[in-house]
Amino acid sequence: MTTSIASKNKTDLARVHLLGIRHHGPGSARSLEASLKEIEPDIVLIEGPPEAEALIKYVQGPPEDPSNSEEAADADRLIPPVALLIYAKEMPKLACYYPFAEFSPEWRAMLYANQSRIPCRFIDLPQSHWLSMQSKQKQSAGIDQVLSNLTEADKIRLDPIGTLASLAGYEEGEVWWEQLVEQRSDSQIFEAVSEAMTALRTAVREDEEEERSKIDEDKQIFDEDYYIEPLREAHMRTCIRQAQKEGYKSIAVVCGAWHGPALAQTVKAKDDNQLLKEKLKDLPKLKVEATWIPWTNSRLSFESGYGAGITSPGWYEHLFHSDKGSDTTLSWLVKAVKLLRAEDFDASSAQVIDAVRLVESLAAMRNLHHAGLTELQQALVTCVLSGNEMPLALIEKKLLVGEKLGHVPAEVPGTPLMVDLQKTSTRLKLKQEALEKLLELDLRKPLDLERSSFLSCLQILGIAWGEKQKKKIKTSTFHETWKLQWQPSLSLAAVEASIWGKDVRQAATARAIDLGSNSPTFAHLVDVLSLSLDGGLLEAVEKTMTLVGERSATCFDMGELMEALPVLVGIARYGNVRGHNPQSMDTLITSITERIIVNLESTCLSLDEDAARRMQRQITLMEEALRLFNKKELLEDSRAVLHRLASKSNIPALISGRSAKLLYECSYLSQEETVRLMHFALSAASAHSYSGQWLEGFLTNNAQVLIHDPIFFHIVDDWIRGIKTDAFQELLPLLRKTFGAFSYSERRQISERVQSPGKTALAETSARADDDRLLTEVLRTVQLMLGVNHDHQ
Amino acid sequence: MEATTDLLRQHAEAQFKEELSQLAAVDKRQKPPRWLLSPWAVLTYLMGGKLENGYEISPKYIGNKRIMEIAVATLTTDRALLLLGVPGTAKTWVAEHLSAAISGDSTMLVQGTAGTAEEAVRYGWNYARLIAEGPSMQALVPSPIMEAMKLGKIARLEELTRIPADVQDSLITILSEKTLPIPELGSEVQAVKGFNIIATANDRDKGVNELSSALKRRFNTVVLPVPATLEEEVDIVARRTEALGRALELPAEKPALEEISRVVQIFRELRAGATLDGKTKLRSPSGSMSTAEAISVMNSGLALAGHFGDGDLKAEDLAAGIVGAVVKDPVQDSLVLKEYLETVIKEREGWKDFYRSLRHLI
Repeated sequence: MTTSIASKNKTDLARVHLLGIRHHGPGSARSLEASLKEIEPDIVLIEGPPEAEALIKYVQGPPEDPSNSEEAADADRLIPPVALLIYAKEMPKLACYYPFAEFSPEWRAMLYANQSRIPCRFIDLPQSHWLSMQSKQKQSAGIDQVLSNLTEADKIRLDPIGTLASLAGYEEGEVWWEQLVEQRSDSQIFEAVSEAMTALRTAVREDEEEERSKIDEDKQIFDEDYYIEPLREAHMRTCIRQAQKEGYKSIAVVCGAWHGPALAQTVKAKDDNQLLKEKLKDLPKLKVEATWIPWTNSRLSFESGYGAGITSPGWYEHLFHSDKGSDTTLSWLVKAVKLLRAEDFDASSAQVIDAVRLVESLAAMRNLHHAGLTELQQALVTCVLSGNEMPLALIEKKLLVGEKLGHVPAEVPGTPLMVDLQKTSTRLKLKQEALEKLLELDLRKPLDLERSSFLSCLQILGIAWGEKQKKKIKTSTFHETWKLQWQPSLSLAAVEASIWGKDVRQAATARAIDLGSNSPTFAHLVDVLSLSLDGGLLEAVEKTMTLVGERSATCFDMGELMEALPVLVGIARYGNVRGHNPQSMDTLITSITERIIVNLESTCLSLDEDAARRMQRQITLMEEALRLFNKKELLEDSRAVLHRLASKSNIPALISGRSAKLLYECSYLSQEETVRLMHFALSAASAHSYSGQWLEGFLTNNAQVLIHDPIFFHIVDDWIRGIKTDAFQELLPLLRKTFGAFSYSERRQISERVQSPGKTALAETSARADDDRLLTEVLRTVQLMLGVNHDHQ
Repeated sequence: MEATTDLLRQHAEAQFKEELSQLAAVDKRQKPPRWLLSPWAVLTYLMGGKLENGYEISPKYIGNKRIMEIAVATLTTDRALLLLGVPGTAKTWVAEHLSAAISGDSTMLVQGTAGTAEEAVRYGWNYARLIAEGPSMQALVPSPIMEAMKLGKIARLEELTRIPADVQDSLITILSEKTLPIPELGSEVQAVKGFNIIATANDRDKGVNELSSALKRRFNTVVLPVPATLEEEVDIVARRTEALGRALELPAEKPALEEISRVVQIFRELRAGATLDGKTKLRSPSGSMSTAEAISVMNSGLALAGHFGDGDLKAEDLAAGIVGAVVKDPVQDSLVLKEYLETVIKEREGWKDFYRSLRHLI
């Protein structure tokens, strides 16, 4: 569309080409590129933050010199997806992202300008004003609330092309746009869109007038929008006039389609200037910084900056790259089928043919000229996947999102996360030193608590500056020991972590939630939970708690659940050392424990030795955790199960022995009953290996029972004496393992007992000694008779 | 011909004759060869709606329109349609109405059983004639599928996965070559345009004959889901229970909607593997937990209450039925149910009676 903006200077003949685009619209990007080539402007103006203008120069296409190896070429240029990040220097929390994908029209426009070596400017209202408005706003309104408050008019403003498409009966704005582009010649498309936008704007304006006549307190946030929009448009017009004044002859203006009509309006320069002056004079001018940061495809769906997010960047990328006129349907299906094969699903070319035919008839039934993503996916499920949608979920990330991490060259100045990291470490008096250093923290002191949280947050972000030591110098729960060491690679990690947020806490929250929802094992998830708690990230704690609850319900591996219990109980018991006490933790622990109790017995059946050994350890962990948790009902229930484990002979001996030990230890089982169990396990009918393992389970970390309790000592003693030589040799490694684990002094005490049974003996033992003496006499006689000379003592 | 009113159950095309003719009257859109209605009209017939002339079409399928669109679109291509789903998801119902609307004839039906022989799918012989006259077209007894091929109509194959694998495989030629060779006569029957097959199969049943991938490839599979919302399912169960109760002349009172919705809730939660509020994940039992089973739990509960109780439907009357529906595998499923009882039902307000009576039984 070519409009000349009225200007007082009649001799000014600059032609202004308004190119209304759809943010992140590949169709838009393509027609934009074509138009730019046709117009050949001498300056490009883009709806974007003027503060970032200096950064436009980094936008470069892949070098044309093919002799360069690809990696070397990629290393020092911006590779989308990247985002422009504008943040207030003093308050990095106040920030705004402008993400760009390869197929973003703005990106193509910058690329065009740089490649044709013409100036390129950002003409939106400076973010310094915008952010300062934000800082005035109450921060209480979360994004969820904002989204739920969206009125029809707001939705139209956020995605006007989507609105037009849905009016035309299309579900997907991009499909509609594609069809428009292909049906009309390129030069007319912007004009048509502009016409449609004018109509939409009129409708919305009427709506809003109506809205505003009702005074509504809740809608304050959008009141901002309401008056900021004319400001932005006034600013853009002013910038266009400026370019005209400077003598540019052909000016291309790339802006959201929504703004097109406003920029074409004839408005006096004086009016615009006055409006800007009037509205902006009260606002404090914030100092803002801008930088490029790497972005990911999945985060392209975030609403920020332009306020337009997209859900399937991979699909858009496909649309952008498939040449105009070529069959997007077929190539998309082939791509999907390839991914399916990589995941080991059968998918033949014949099925793709069938799918293409189904897509066509589906599109016809739904009155579409071209099939959209919905039709493609449904055909894929129906023809290739036999109606099973699950495999689609497997390839969804690669296919629809097309996970990609952008790259930012080193020469671009730093990110707010890095700035925040620096600031916070200075504030917390943590020096970035290459030397290893131990740091002792007392969590009762606010500074130390904050340090600990900060270091935990960095851990979540993969910035491994500090490492929490398991061996503590002081053992109380409010002491922590950290090993600190700063390495140059950590700066890089900080840049990488920048995609997660603007400051350390916020980024750590986002990352923890992401880690939690993608964690491979339950134990890992619980670790994330515990780290988030250490980091004091309440939001992340809440989310991961929910995840833990969900995962625990579908986790079939009781062992994993049991190993997680001590961590969870630890949080429940000591969480308040850090000043928060998650309420729902108790319920969570109770339900996990109940699940374990229900399933424990069947889990313990048919375990091989290694698994039994693990289970033995896990049962101990659980019992200890439950003792700490100290809930009578749970303890009783779990002990009842342990009792069954101890008394059933089809349970691995190791586990039975351990259960007996745990129950005896807490006096759940009387000495009498324990003795009975031990007798039973060590009775002659049992296989020696069974008895040996039972003993291992019972005696591990439990030497005291042998030293102080003669009854147990004698049962063991008798049993060992009863073993035949061959069997003894077989058992020896096992016994050595059990007894070898005792401490030196324990072993000494036991051996003393063995050598002189009478010394500390009770009446019963001395009676046995008498028996022995009598027996010695008899033996001596027999030896004499047999002529065997054996020095028996 | 019998008087239609005496029939226990009418064919779909007879029962909804008026609707079909009204649809045909207003249907101006393009029809595939030998279709009585255009795909759009078929869709309207299934999903219900108001015609231009003000005539109201009753909905035959209550659920997602998108799914029916895929089913109809599949039939417009020459690919066969396989309706897959757990029992009680209206597969047969949809197949019958599709063939009634498209071909005006839902009687070309082969019922798949473990004993279905090849003759039922291809052709058999009139042996008296075969011996008297030797092999000839007259001595041949065509299967419904062969008939449909000749006439260009839709044939239906119920319970495809119950048919033995070797018999299933005789479909491959029919589906890919669209012809049925008769080697005995040195001849063949070639399908006329408009022919297609709608098969139904159950993907949860144990002991089914899994389709070979060669056959699977020749079908477009549409999965019919269980009802989407609690309200929808309670509605279906309430109606069916009432209708069945009347037919069986059960003495108990009509079940309170509250009991129905509790039973449906249990079914839905166990089936979905999550509580309705989405807060707790659950493990699902091995059974299918279909709507049809919920209906039968209600019915047996009614019978128990009527014959052995005081005629009032109580939790204990339903408990046995629920346990029977959930516990198909005595070890795994009773663990699942126990877990569900302890973690969900026990805590739920006003569900104490369910907890007690179920706890008794497992």
